[in-house]
Amino acid sequence: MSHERDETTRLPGHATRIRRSDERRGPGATGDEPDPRFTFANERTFLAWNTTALGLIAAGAAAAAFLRSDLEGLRLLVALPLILLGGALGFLSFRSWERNERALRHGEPLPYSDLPRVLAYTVGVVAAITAVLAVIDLAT
Amino acid sequence: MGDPAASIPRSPAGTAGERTALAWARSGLATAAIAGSLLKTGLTAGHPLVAVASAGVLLALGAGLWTAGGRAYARHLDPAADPRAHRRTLALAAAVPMLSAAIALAMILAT
Repeated sequence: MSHERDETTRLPGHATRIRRSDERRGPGATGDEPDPRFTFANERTFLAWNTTALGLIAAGAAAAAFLRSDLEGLRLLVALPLILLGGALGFLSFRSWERNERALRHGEPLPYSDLPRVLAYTVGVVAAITAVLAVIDLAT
Repeated sequence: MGDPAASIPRSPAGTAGERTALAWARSGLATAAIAGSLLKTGLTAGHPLVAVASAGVLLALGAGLWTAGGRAYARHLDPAADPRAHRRTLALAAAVPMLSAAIALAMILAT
């Protein structure tokens, strides 16, 4: 049965239509059930991103509440990127979970994710801004 | 009459499921922490009604995430479970950071 389904999804001209249908039904409706350990691992990865996103939002809210600077814009320069990135990660991590789940169910290689790079760059830039703020605060 | 849980065979998938349930619980706790943080921020900023309402919604979502772990674990024991229901649960979990970010932004920009 599973071989027949695999061949059907690989027919030229049908793949795109099936893919669009998959988008509406979600990854769990197609392909074969993978090893539960892989499914759980994919879900834990999503949850780790979710927790990271919540941590970024908490850090942004704390920066907005507790950072003291004469320039209001500088305070927001630290807080807003963290909060915006946290909100975006919530959505992007769900998309990543869907793509990984679909790849697992169809026996395809897992897709590459840019999320770690985006997170690392953003946190690095915000850390640099915070360090500059701290130096300015010490100097004045 | 021993412990009924002792009769359940242990398996790698079972422990993976437990770790996943714990990850759900951590997300629920993080959501509750965000709710507390936004409550404090909102009260300090002078928006008590918005702060309490936002914190209440986020706390309810945090409780939902806490319990979702158990359901996710049970889903893998039930072959007839609807995968779309699980996808909806994950979509709801993904909405929590977006909602939290929106509330935090609104509070910060309103002060």
